[in-house]
Amino acid sequence: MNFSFSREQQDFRRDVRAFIAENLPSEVRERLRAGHAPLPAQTIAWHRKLNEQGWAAPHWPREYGGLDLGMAERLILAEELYRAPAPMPLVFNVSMLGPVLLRFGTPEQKAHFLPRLANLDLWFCQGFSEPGAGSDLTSLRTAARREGDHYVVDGQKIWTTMAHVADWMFCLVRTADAPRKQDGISFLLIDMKAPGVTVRPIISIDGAHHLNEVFFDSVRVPVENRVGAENEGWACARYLLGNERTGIAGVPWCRERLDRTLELAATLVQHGQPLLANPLLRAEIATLRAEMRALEVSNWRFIVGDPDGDDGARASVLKLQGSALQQRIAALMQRLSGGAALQAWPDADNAPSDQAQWAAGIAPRYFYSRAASIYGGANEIQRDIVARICLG
Amino acid sequence: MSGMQFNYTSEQSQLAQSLRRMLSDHHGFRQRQALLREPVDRPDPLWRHFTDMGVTALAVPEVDAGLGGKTEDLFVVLRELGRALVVGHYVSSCVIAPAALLLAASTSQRAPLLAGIAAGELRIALALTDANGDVRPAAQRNPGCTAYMTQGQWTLSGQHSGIAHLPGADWLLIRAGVEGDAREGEALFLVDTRAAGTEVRGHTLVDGSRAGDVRLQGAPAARLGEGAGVPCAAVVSALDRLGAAAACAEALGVMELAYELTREYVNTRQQFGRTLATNQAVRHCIADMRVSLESATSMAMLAAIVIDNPQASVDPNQDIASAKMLIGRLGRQLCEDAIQLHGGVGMTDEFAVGHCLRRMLVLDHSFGNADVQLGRLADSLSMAGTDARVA
Repeated sequence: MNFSFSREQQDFRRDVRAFIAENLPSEVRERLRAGHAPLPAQTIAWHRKLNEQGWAAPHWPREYGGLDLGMAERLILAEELYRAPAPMPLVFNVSMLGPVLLRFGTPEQKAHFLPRLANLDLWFCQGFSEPGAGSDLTSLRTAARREGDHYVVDGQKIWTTMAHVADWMFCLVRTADAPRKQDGISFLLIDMKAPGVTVRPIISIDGAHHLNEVFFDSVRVPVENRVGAENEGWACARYLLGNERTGIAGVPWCRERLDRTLELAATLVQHGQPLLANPLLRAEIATLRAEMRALEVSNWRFIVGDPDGDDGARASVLKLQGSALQQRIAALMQRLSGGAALQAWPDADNAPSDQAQWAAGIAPRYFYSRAASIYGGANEIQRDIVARICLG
Repeated sequence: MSGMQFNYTSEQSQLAQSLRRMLSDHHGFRQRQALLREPVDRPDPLWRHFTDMGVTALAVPEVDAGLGGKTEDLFVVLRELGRALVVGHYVSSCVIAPAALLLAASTSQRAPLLAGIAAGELRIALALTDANGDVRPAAQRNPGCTAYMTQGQWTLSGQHSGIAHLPGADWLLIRAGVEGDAREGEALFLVDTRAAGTEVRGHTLVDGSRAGDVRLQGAPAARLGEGAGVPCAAVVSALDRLGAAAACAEALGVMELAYELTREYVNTRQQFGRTLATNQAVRHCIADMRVSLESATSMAMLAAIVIDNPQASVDPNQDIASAKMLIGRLGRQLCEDAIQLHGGVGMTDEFAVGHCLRRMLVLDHSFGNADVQLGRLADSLSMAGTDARVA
């Protein structure tokens, strides 16, 4: 047993770190350090910069813009990006749709879409959930009726992150009413500019606009934009959701935020005393650090160190632990930041005072972290999965 | 309350029901959201109803044109305000300010102010905390406020931040160091916020309530009590305890709202062909929420009881700190669980349940959050009176 990195992996980490230090704009770094998400233009610019190195989608084959890198290098890259902190490549493009196209796409679909995904020429959003289909995703009702060489799509998706910015959507639709609901689902790629597509913003409890509802009113989608066979879209979705779970634990995010928490605790004062002088706070941070270390090692053990040892529960284990840790860290940052963090969203009427700017991203991040145990398979579903595997 | 009594009296029940009905008619969730988008200096539409119902006069003694209610009566009101997610200035104007005037002001000073409070005519903000009592970067040390006596008139200069309900307030009741007063050190002062020398910068908190920072430059002020009466530190401690008890009562109402919204949601929402409530994990979570509610109810009531009757407790300070700490933690946990059980809709601004958590954070922060209270409780533990031995 060992937990060390090869010479090549250490060199890779060093190269990535140096590249980020030289190329990440300081305003982007500061924005993320303060706890805000990058602006869409910043995400695009940085994603393309990474793509120039082949690092936007490093695990893809070289012919489609990747470097054929393995899981270890992917994880090293993620760790270094979060450490900076720097924006990650757009997950919808490189971790979700890209792998689905690699596995299920036609040569034409791969040739057309993969380079555009890798370079964020097209920003994709994810059309899965519906008002009546959350955890019970297979009960989705957005329908795609075949008419010659097109599908005609009618229905609605919800919780669509960044749909208001996206160029395209990968979308689960119902193409048949089958005895088993998953046997009537297809996977379509839909142009968000197509006539009949309407996006309605949903403001979330962090005060920001990330989420949307998307309505489809007789939207025509060419049949060649279907991925995989008709009525076999659920296999694409399962494959995608399996991939999503691995990254979604947010382990490297936890490390950077916990480091930032410690920094805050050391530099913030109350009644003239540094917060870190409080033994109760030190105990809480020490506990979180130990738990984060366990999660970090598990991440490496599951993904790289013992990749064949999975009985199927590991992705859910990581999601359960990772989401809990994200939430506890976000909550601790909010709790120790006092009144400054409670000043609300930076819009024209409600801007925090200058003295409170350092805390502006902290409460929004805490509120948004409540979703970590809901999206990507809610905690209750994850526990059912683990229990079924453990108990039968 | 004498003996063992944790139920409402019939008057208290009537008050609670009337308030709940009024708030349901005039401060439903949609109305509340619209109200929060109004400019801060628009008159608060609820205020007329509060005055008509007498709740603005509750904390004012009968001799001062009030109703002479006790903290247990304020508990009834605050619980309903919490349940309706009201974020106006009732606590500072009609609960803490009257108590401050009764503790520290002279009779002639307080009479007109108490009458104005009882009549619902005054908005009063309070800056009682140490100017450096809230968390800040080390470089942002706040010099606080100092009072100077010049030709028979007190003036205040300095600054204070994070003052709840400051925007739109008529009066600011603020703690300041007294220049040249070696004996007293600090005192409480009343500042007319509309007079010269007062600059207010307002902001909105995550729950929609207003707060602000103040800069005073030679602002004319009235010293409460003119040196007579209870020392400033004791007054501030008493008001801190009252504020903590008030926050506990409101937080209980917020928890009750979050719980009831969730109960209804899980009994209605269907996935996999059945309601969420048929799932054991959901049922157990609701049960845990109920357990938390009972603890919160007991402690919020206790806090109100020991303010009115400190003799009812061996250690009233510990009871209040324990109540504030537990309700801060349990309230946060319950409101987080409420969002979890709502799934995606719990994350939206359009549903009330997410606003319960936002409100809970501000209530936790006010008058010392759960972590501050825990520090006090831990510090107060000692080996005295135990059999523990140090080897």
